[in-house]
Amino acid sequence: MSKKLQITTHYSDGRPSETRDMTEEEEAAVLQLPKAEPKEQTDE
Amino acid sequence: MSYPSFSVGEVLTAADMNAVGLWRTGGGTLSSSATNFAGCFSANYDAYRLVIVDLATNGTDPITIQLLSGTTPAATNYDYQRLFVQGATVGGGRSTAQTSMIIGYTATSIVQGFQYDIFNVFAAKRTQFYGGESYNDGTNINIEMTSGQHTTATSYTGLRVLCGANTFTSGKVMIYGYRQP
Repeated sequence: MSKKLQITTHYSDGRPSETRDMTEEEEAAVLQLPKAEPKEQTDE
Repeated sequence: MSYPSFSVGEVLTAADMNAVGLWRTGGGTLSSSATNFAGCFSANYDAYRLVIVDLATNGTDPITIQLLSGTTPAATNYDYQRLFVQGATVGGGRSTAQTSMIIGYTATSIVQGFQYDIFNVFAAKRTQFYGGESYNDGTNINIEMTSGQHTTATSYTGLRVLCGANTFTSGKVMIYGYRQP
């Protein structure tokens, strides 16, 4: 069973912080984040 | 007015408190693969300072941020221009229409510090970001700077910090509002 990615939320209004598993949609979005490494852009 | 030095037991007047330039509006410890800071932006401030101390992850993906409405992220329309110096290598990069904005990079067990200013985030206008990151990759002291813009003219109330499919192993986040003139 693969481990789910998690997300934590801190609230400024004093509510207690909470951590939950990401939804499948959230996980898919995280995996689409920008990946470019600076050194890959400048290596010759 | 006794500001900026207060005496023990002294009554803090409105004038004293109104002279304070930065107010903490949010923060907490980074954990999981993404950490939300909900409700840290409001109509009280037009500009904010994001500070991250001791950020470390168990992987090597970029550190990125997204704006939040409640706890729902805006996942489109991030444009940014980057400047970096890694050892003797000076470079830059430009990206548009991204799903989040890169604020820096990470490598396993490398501890980093970040500071970013964020402008017009609560106003229903485009949001601007400017700042940078300092870290030692084990060989060199590196500089990473980003000037960015979220081009959707919408009001946002919070911020999400992400590290891809990795997990934050440390990191203290402080968010401050700049007192208005």
